[in-house]
Amino acid sequence: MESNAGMMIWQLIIAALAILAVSIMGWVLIHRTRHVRRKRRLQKRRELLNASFIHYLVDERDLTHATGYDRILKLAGKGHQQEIIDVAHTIVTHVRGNTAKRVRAFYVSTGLVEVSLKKLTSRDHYQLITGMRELAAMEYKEGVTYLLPLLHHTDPIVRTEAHIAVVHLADDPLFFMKKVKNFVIWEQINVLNALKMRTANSIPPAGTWLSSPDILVVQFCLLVIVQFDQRECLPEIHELLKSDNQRRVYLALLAIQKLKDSRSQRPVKELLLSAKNQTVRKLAMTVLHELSGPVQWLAISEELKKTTHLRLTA
Amino acid sequence: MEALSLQPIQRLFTPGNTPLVLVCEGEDIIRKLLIRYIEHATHWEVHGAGDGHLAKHFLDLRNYDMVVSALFVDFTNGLELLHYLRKEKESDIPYLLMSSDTAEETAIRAFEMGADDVVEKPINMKELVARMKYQMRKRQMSSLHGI
Repeated sequence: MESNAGMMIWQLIIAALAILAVSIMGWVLIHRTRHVRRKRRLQKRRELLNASFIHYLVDERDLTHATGYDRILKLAGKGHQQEIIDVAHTIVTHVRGNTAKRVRAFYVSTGLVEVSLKKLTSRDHYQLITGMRELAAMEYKEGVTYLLPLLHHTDPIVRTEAHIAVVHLADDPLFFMKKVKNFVIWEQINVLNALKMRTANSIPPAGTWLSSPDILVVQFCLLVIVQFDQRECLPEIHELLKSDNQRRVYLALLAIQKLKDSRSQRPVKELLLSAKNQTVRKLAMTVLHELSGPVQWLAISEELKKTTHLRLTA
Repeated sequence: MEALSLQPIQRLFTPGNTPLVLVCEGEDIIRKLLIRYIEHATHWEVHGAGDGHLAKHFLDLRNYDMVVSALFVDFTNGLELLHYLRKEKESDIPYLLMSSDTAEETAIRAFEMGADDVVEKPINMKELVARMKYQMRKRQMSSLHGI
C-alpha cells in the first residue's frame, strides 16, 4: 500500500513537471512567434516608409498632391511619428541640397517637429539628447528658445549636446558664451567640432570674450580664434599678454604661436623683457624665435642680452 | 538559370548601350534613394549593394560601367573595394568615392589608388549625378577614340 502511494506521488510530481515544461515551452513559442511577427511588421512598415519617402523625394515635384507624402502622413497618423523622424534624420545626415530641404520642410509642415520639442521637456536624458539632435539635424531655428534652459543643465552630456545644437541653429553661434559656466575642455572640443560644421564667415570674432573673468571661456575663445584664423582678434590677444594671470599669458602665447603673425613680434618681445615666470619666458622666447626667423633672431637676441645686462647692472 | 547567373555576363560598353552602375552604400534608405535618383535623372541601370562582400560579388558577376561607393561600408571600405577593382579585377571603370571623412589624406589616398572622383558627404544628389555624367562622358569619349 505504502509503495503504491509513493508511486502515485512520484507520478503526480512527474505529471506536474511535464505540464509545467509544456506550458513554459508554449509560452516561449507564443512569445517568439509574437516577437517575429512584430519584427516582420516593423520591417514591412519601414520598407513602406522608405519607399514612400523615396517616391516623395524623387518622383513628386508637387507637394500638395503627392501619394508618397500622403502615405507618410497616414503612417504618421497611426502613431509612428518616431519612425518617420528616424528615417528623415538619416536622410538629412547623408544628403544635402534640395533633397534635404524637402525632408526638412516635410518635418515642419507635418508637425513632426512637435514630437522632437516634446522630448525637450522629458526627464529622461536620452530623450532630451535625441530631441536636441533631431532639432539640430532638421535645422529648426525656432528651436533655439527651447534649447536655452538646457544650456545650464546639471548633466554635462546634456549641456554639451545643448551647446552643439545651439551652435548649429543660432545665427550667432557664440551667443551662449555670455552665460556659460563650467565649460570644461571636452565640452569645448565638442562645441568646436560643431563650429567646424559651419562656414567660417558665419562665426563672429571670438576676441570679444577674451576679457571674460572665466579662464575656461578665454581658453575656448583662443581655440576658436586659432581654428578659424581670426587675425582681427590679435589686438585683444596682445592685450591678454599684459595680464597678471600667468596662465592667461601662457594661453595667449600659445595662440600667437599657432597664428604665426609677424605683428605679434613687438608685444612678445616686450613680454619677454618684463616676464618673471620661467615657463612663460621660455615659451615667449620660442615664439619670438619662430616669428622672427634665424637672421632677425640674431639681432633680437643681441638686443635682449644688452637690455637684460643693463637691467641687471641697474 | 543558376548556372547562367554564376557566369560573368560579358557586356561591351558602346555609347548606345544603357550604362550599368553599381552603388555601394550601407544605409538602406540612402542606397535606395541614390538608386532611384540616379535612375530617374539618367535613365541608366543602377544596382545596389549593401556591403563590401556583396559589391565584390556583383563586380564578379557583371561588367559595370561605373562604381559609386561610400567610404565606410560593412565588411570592407571604399578604398579596399577600389583596390579590389583596380588590382584584382584590373578594371579601369570610373570609380567615385563618397566620403564623410573630411581629412585631405583620405581623398589623396583615394586618388593615388585610382579613384576618379571623391564626393563629400552629405551628398548633393544633383552634383553627384553631374559628376557621374561627366565621368561617363569621359569614358564614352575614350572608348570612341580607342584610348
